[in-house]
Amino acid sequence: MPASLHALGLVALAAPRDERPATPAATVAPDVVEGCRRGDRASLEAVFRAHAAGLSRLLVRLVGPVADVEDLLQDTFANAIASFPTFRGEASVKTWLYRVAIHVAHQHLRRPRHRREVDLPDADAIAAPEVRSGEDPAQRELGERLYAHLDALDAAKRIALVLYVIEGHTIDEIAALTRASKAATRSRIFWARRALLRRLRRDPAFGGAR
Amino acid sequence: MTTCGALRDSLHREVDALEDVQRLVLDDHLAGCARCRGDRERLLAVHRIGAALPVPADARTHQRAIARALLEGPSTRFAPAPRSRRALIPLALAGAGAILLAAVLVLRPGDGELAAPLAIAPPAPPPATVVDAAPADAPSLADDVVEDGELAHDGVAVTTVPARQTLRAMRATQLRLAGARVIVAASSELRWVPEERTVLLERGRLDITNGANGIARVVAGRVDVEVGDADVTVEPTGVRVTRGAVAIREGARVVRLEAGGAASFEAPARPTPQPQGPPVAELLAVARTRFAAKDLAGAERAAAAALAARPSRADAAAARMLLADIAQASGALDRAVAHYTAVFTELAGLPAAESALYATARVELRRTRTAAARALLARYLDRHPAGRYTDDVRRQLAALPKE
Repeated sequence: MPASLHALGLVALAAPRDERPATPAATVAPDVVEGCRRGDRASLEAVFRAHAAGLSRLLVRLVGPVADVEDLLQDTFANAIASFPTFRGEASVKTWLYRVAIHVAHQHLRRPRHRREVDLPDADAIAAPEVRSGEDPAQRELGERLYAHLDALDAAKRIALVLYVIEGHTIDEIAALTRASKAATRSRIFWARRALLRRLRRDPAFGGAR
Repeated sequence: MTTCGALRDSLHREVDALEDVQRLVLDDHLAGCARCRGDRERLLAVHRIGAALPVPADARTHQRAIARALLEGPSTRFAPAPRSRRALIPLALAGAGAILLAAVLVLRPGDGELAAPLAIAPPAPPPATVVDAAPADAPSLADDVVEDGELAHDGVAVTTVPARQTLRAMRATQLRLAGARVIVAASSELRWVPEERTVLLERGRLDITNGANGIARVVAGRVDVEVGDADVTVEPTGVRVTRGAVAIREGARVVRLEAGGAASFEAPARPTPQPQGPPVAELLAVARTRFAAKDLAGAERAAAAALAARPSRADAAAARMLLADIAQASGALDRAVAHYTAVFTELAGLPAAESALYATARVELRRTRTAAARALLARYLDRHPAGRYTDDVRRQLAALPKE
């Protein structure tokens, strides 16, 4: 009888690159959802695997390129495990998991050690940053500058703005994802966009003048 | 002409995401409004840069996050995003109570000690094998073996376990490594380096029944056990021998342990803190200043005093790193390795642990202990696949001579 590592009680924590599993479809069968509610390990793992890539992308966009995505992802899954018994199925599992991830990102952004003084050098006087293979250094630099500006914003406003401008969600969707009213969401986006544009207008890397 | 405010919500949208009428109105406005033109360019840049951010998380990262979430459970109970500060007051009070309770528990004498020297305990009865402790509903594992890196079931190979891959035992599991029978306690993490016949035990416990040509070494935390023809139980906090003899190395010290003997790495009684002594931060600052001035003895005294003054975990890591750097500068490489190792094993959750692991590998390279360096570099890659030194580590691993 064939058996997998998992069936034998072992979890491979570092799968070799050439054995990466393909991302499965993000649809969740009702019995799997029921399994998740009961805390069934296999069901939870199946759901998490299906949504891990999308959640990672969302977390990176919300918190920026320097955060430890793995920790945030773990926190998202851990929170989801604790909360699955209360999942009523009114939203899709994907939407629900995205809500959890947004909450985790919000908590992360509110931590004092996350926030830092933003002191950007001149755009043309920046030393070549450390580059990872396959990354465009200029793009990476712009990303870091953008998120340094976003770090100066209030966490809830920043999340609303990122969901609106970068993720492309509508006001209604953002209100549902962040459990805020539409008016509050609209207000957050307004103030965040205004604050961000003020900063970008002074940043030469974004066509601004000092 | 339309006002700037009326177009605010269209500025960040790409042209093809706008309806024809919206596009016409926007174009009309932008033709006469330089400020909105600039803002539109900026918001489009925000959209493009954000959408193109690389996601430093691959399937391995996902798997690790899932496995840890499943094993370690929730770190914080999920609650909807806070609606007001007032709603947080009960939580804050509960949190303060929990912190107070935790502080009372942690500060009890004898708890939460840092690294302690090797202590030899009197012989103790052999432990029960952990298979006995497996849950009743767990399937029998007697026939599931890893034979030199290959996992087999009923004698049929079912999958390959790549070398240097960290495995976490979800429940008590029996493996066979280089002919030795190994019972892995539930929640243990280990890595098998076949070419060195070495097991790296990250956490948990191993009961090993070994032959002369079986496992050569088990490295667990600060402890390096040379296993000969012996039966031995190894944990990061202790070693117990039930047959044969093993040699245990901790830094420069080597202790031989015979059958019936046990060595533990339990912490000694906590020394009474000096209430009037200078604060840890001040001691660390003094140590750094002395070290920068090349006063190694003075730096070491200050760093050791900081370590003895009940530091926080972060301060303990800082003190250990300083002591390790001082030891390196003095040429005491064994001592440096011991301090670095204490950081990446006992303070593994801290950022300093990554630097400590890398520094240990560098020290082993410096004294041309290739096997140890290779194992440490591999361990670094496993723990920090996208770490600060990952590229260097890969280069150094590639440059090491093949065995």
